[in-house]
Amino acid sequence: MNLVFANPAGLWALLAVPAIVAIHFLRPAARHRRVSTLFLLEHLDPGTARARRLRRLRMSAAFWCQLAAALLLAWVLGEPLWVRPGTRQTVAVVLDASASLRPFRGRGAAALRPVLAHWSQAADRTQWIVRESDLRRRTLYEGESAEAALAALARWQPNLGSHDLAAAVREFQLAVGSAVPVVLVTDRRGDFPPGTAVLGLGEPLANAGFAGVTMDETPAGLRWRALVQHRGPVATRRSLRVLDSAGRDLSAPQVLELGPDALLAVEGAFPPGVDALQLTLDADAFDLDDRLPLVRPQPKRLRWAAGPGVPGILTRFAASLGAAEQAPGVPDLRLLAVQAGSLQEPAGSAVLAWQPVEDRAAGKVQRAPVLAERHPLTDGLTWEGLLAGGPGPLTPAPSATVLLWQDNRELVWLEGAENARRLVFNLHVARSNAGRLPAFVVLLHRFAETVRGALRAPWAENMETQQRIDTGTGWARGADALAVVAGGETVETAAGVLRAPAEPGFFEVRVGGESVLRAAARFGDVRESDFREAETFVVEGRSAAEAVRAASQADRWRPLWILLAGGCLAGAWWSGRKQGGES
Amino acid sequence: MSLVSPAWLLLLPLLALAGWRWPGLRLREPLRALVLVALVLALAGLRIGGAAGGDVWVLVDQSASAAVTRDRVGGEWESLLAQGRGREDRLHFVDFAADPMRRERGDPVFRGARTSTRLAGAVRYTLTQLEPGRPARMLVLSDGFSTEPLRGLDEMLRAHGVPLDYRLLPPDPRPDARVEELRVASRVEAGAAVLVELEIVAPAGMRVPWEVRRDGRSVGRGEATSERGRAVVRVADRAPAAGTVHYEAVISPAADSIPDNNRAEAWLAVAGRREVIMVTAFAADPLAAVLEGSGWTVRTVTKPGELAAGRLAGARLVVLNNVTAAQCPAEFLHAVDFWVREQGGALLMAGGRSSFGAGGWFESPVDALLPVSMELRTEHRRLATALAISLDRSGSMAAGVPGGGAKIDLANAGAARAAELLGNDDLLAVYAVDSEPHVVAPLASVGPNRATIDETVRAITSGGGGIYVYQALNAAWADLSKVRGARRHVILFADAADAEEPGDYVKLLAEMREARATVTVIGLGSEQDSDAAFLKDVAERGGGRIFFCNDAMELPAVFAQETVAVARAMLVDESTPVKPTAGWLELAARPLSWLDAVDGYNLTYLREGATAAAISGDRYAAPLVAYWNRGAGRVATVAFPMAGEFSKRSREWPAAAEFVRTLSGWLGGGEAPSGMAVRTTREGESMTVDLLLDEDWAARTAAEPPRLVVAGAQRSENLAWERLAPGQFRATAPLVAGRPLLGAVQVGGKALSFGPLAMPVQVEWQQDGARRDELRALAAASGGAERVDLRDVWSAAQPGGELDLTRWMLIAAAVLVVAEALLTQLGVRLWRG
Repeated sequence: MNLVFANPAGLWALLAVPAIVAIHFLRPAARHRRVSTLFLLEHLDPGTARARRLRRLRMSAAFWCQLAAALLLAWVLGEPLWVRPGTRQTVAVVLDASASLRPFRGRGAAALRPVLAHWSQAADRTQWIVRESDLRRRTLYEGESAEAALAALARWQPNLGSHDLAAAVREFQLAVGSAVPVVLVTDRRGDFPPGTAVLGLGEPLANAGFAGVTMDETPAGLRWRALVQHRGPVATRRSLRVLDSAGRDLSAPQVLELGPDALLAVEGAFPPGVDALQLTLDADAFDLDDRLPLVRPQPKRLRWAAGPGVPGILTRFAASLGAAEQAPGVPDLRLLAVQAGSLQEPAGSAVLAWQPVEDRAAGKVQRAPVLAERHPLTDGLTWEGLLAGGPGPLTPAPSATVLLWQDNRELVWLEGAENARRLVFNLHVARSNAGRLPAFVVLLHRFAETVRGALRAPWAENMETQQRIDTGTGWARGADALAVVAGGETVETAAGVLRAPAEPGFFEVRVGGESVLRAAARFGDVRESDFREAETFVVEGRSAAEAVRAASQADRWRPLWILLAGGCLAGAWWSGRKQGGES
Repeated sequence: MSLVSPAWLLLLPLLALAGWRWPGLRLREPLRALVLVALVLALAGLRIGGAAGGDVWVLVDQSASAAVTRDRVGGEWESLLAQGRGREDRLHFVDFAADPMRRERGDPVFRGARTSTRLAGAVRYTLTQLEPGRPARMLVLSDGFSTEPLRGLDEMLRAHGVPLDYRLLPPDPRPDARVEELRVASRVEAGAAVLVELEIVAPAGMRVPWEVRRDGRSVGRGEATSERGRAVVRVADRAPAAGTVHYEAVISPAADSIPDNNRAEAWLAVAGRREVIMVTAFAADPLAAVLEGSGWTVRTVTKPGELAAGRLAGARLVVLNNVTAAQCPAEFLHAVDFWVREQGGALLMAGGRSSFGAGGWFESPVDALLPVSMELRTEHRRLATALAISLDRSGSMAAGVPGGGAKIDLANAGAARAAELLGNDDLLAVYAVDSEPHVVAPLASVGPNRATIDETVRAITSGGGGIYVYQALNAAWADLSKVRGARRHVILFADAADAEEPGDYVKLLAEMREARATVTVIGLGSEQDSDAAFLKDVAERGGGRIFFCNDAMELPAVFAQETVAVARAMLVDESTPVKPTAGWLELAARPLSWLDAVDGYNLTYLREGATAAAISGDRYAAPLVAYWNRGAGRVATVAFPMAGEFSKRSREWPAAAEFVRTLSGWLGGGEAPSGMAVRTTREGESMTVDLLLDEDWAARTAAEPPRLVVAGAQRSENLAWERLAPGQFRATAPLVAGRPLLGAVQVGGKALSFGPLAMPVQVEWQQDGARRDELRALAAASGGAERVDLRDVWSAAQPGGELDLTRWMLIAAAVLVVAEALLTQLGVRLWRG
């Protein structure tokens, strides 16, 4: 059973022990008694009234009784509490996963150790939960060993962008229950839920790093333009190197002079034949923004084909698509004109437009308003001003998703299986002003991009760390897991959830051994590279003493100790009743 | 004083006996005796202080959602509580819904608003009512569906040592149909088709009539049948011209236990040409014609009372032309402040009898936005004012307000503020009125009595009953009628639901008007309250203004506005030359052909940082046209009337149209920034804001990350963005019932506004199980529990109150042991018996 003292100050009563010892060094005063017989002089204490004040310590019964009384009183004053066997508590530690904690990670264990030691006294057994504020990540530790909980901090990887830390703490508190005390480790002050203990580990640091990049295709080739930001009160200089993916210099290093809080743009070209390069700055305390890996962007090629009688606007649209080519043989996207009747299901994805046999069959221009359903393909688009002779005679499949209505009839809808989606226009496109309506073109563009996104074709892209990679459109179909290769390591991940790596660098995504994505991930959240508000501080949360009282029982023998103390005193007085010597 | 275990005291006679039997123990020696007495008292557990008995504070939920079951069982529960009480125990009741009210202080009938269940506010209020040193417990009788979170209360309750128990009201077993959700797009183009979806929850098979209205006009109605407990209705509509549209859905089932949850609302922003909201006293305002000719879509509002915060969403400019602050809802004015500062809106105030200080705009929510200040400096005053304030001190004024205190305290603060704003030569009298007037401050000069007036006014307390209006007016006029050579004015402050005894007020007011005295009424409540019409009549007959204050926190500002409007505002009603300044050239590409003089103007003073484009040519050199940037927005003032009285010269001014065009063009600002877009979606009680930026914004966002600002309860709040991908940010914020959310995204000095986003359904009727869980957790954390038998609350341990002396007895015993040992060793005897 754990023993704690609810009133540790009461143990100062132990000072009575040396006081009593010191008292017993004093020579007792002599007592004078008149006697008539000389023989009684033999029985007198040899001490005389003229002896020295101090004498050798004599451990008489009175001495021991008084000591015992003092010890018992000190024990009772200390108010010992026995933590009940079998009492359990849970204490949670939330580690801020923001990247700005990176320079201060090493301080976490030392700061937490006394806090955990304090809480461990509050119950017989303590369940420690250590988590990061990114609740998507696994718990770092859950168990009963405080040392193991502290050791788990080695797995703490603060590399997330800015996020609502207070919301994360609240959500976590809801999950573990309001009775569980939470200790938050972060680097700056904020508005956190009441009762949360907060340990601030940060301090203001000057930092220089990359703050963004754009790529531009020019007649002379692909060029990059990067921003370098310095947050610090004093000017500094950094050396900029341009390396290939193997780490070899592609050009001479360049020295950048950065003034206080400066933002500088640097430019360069992608050398011909080089598909990947990285920019580096001199390392400092915050390393995530000191590297900027880049790949030559290469979107998936979209092959399209137009069937006979397709309205010209659709063909012109397809021809305007970037990274697309007309491929009559095996297109990814077909453009087809259809007549009345049930729609035949073409292979693959397609845009189908109603084409009446005779133009007059299109009917008068409809004036009824066009109503848009809430759908990502039509989000934010306005169809006011669409003039068309429709809706036509086409009918959607029962499983179709209607996107636009007119006069209570389906005007545009989406149907088909996941990798063979069809966008159907039930209006006479060729005899409408759809081509002049931005909404029409944007809808086509969005649909074409969903088709492109579903293609299992290699592509290359520059991303940010932990950026979500959309796998829902089908390019990962048939794969239970995807292999992400980064930094020489291969990690299997479930097909439904894919993010760029958390550390800057080059990475690859493979499906069934085939490389589908070649990418570079850079750290993009510049808010985390600003350390001006970082500080070291402590905010007290819930009191461990309350938890101790709730989980413990008072010393039930207390009255006995008090009685014994009284008894010891009585014993001391009784044994000392003849003390003092007689003269 | 009390003893935990008094049986130990039996040791004392035993020790006395031992001392007699064995005199060698020398127990008669003082120190030895004291040691033993201290040890015995430590065993007995001596306690001092504290009170006999304890207090139980019962918080009774008076909100609308709990009404039915509370009325059924509430009386019985209260009787049970009274039965279990001990002789020294005390039972207190605090009724709460939107506001808390201690029952024995006010009317026995709860008169507060019942449209929300603010349990957290009621707990905080009750903590301020506790008697120090007396143990207390709280008992909540409620349906458990608080409309506000209970965060932070556990710490407060533990700090006060007050456990919180609860007993939940049983659910209403009768069938109920309600509107669950009303879905509309947040933003469309003018003229676009709009799909409105209404979701109804009702017992299976129930037929529910429904109607959807747009800005009060029906756009669809019908009858829906609930299938498996739900029915969805879809209505197609067309968005009108640019601005904001208010949709409302109402159901009217035949058998419905709770009619108050049959309504939902939503706002739709309609984009189009730049819109100006012209709040004006003139149906054919000449300014409107000029603005329309300049390419603006003008929405004229001649009934400012109908303005709501949501109206600002589609607007670019608000013009206040000769309307008083009292005419505009406070919620709208507060929204204007946020809309200008954070969302980049623009404001123009034009002069007239109802503008600036004369219109009560001093210390209004809009005051700080203006480039001019409206106080009347002493050196410019001509006439003293004799002001009499009659304050309602009836029982309803004892209701609590957020942050502690009661409504009467805010009314007192308002009267004290009025005293602060009066000049030294002005006269002031204050009366506290219930069934009769009580003189608080007799009519006297303010100058030498300012401190005394302030102190006595702030000490007014609430009594009972309602205010007798005739008595209030009569007392004021009895004193004011004796004053000569000053402007005489009465401010009557009354509860709009409890103003009684009109007496012969018509005759009295006629007499006052004939003597050129005026009466303004400040009503606490709304225009829908039972006595609101009467109070309006008093103000109208009294030649003054009428203010309705739904939020008691606004009272000090309203008193200030009225005082300045009466005593310190000035309209210069004579021809005054106009002196243009170079400030105009900041707005216009070329100089303007100014008018030579104006017929009149509102006297104001240029604020530091503002620019005057023209000033008056008289001794005041006051700003006639002023402007400045305010936060993300722009504000301008034109101190001379451009319509109505004193506007002949300005209306005939040839360059008036150019003047208005230039000024409105500057106010309207540039077009929305390119390369950025804001998208908002509402899911249940949360709003998600997505910000999309193209790569051209990379440098600007690196230097200064984007800010997301929303209008909070008291002030603007910044929300945290999460960066999803290059140029894509997302933030989530909770929606608060009854308060449409307005916000703005600020990037690189530009602002993109969004909102209003509102909870479609009144939260009072949302039965969120999480709120009940929160109440249970709060009770457990505070040391309380659910009380199935209410009488148990009296037998539960009452913490606090007494001081435990056991520790001190032991310390004394330890010290005495050492002292006794020392004296014994030295042979010193204090007792030689």
